[in-house]
Amino acid sequence: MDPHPDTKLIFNADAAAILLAFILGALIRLNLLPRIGW
Amino acid sequence: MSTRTIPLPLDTTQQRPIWRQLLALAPGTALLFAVGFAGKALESLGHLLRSRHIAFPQVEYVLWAILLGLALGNAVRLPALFRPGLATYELWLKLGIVLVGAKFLFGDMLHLGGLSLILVAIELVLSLSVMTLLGRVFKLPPKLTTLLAIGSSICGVTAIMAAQGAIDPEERDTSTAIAAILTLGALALFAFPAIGHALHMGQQSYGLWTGLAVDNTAEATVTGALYGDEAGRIAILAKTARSSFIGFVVLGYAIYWASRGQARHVEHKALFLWQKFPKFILGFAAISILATAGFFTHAQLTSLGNLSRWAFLPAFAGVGLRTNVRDLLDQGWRPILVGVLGEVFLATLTLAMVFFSTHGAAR
Repeated sequence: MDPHPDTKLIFNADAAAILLAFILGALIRLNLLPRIGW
Repeated sequence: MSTRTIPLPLDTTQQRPIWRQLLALAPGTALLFAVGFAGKALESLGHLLRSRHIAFPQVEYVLWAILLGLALGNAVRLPALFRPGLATYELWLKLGIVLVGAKFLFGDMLHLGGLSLILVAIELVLSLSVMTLLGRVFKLPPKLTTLLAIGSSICGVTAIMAAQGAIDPEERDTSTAIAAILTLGALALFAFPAIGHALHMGQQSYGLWTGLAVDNTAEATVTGALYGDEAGRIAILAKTARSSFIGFVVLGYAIYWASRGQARHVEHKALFLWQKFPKFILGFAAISILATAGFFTHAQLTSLGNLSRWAFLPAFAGVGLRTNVRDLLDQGWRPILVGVLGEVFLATLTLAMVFFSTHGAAR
């Protein structure tokens, strides 16, 4: 059991933000965004 | 033993299929983006009208998004189905912050972040003492004082939520402390840029000041962005330096209240620090390291910066939407007064520190 349920929520937003940022960074690095017309 | 005999409403919601959970986020998320886009549209409309010599307030999309959010959130009672999605504003805020890391050379981040860390350490000690003193003078419940001190010295709502699990305060104290911090954040949104302009502050000193003095990460980001792009970035950097202290301060208070038998003992201190550490700061630093190592071309860095601004759009809308003026006024005047006095002290102190440190650095 997580004794601090609030930290779980904070961690989720944190982890999701980092993951999303790196996916977006990779898409930009591979020049995939212009190819899908962005 | 059958679990069917005890129906737990919480379990049934957790077992909903993932697509239904995502669907529940859709209305609120759509509202965040709609309000953000409307802010952007109003800014463009302003450019168009002024170019044709039609009077229209010269307001940036940041402020439009907040004002629209405030108006909408307070004029109508938003149906409950918007609530889960509105909470995602935190995700967009953190995404924007991680991406803004690409705009910093890692060396600059260490230099400015290091300066911020020193200023934060001084600010922490003084503001924790002053808030505690004020709480005693105005006879606030001790745990409410603790929460207000943590919230105003470090990181607003995140810090209060982190402390809530550690020091077991009354639920009412938590909501009062959060309301006070949010009220003060809303006031800072309008007061700080005005003061900055009146004092003719540079982008860097203003950003540093905002990051050190405005409590909540969202409000600090907005208050910085209202002054200019560079001020916004510096504010984020100073604010993240400040947020990285969350664990230590909360741990200190947790040990204090546990020693008085009014909270649980912390068994694994290192684990506790890691749990409370805002992980998005690691992402922010990692993107900065990649950018510094030349992983991205100049054009790609510009794209990352643009993406970051797009991510801030719904985040800024969320700041307005979740600020409910009536809820804030319902909390009673004493915590707010203690908060205001503490914040005025904090703002003056950090302004003086920024003034001396940047003047020293210019020599």
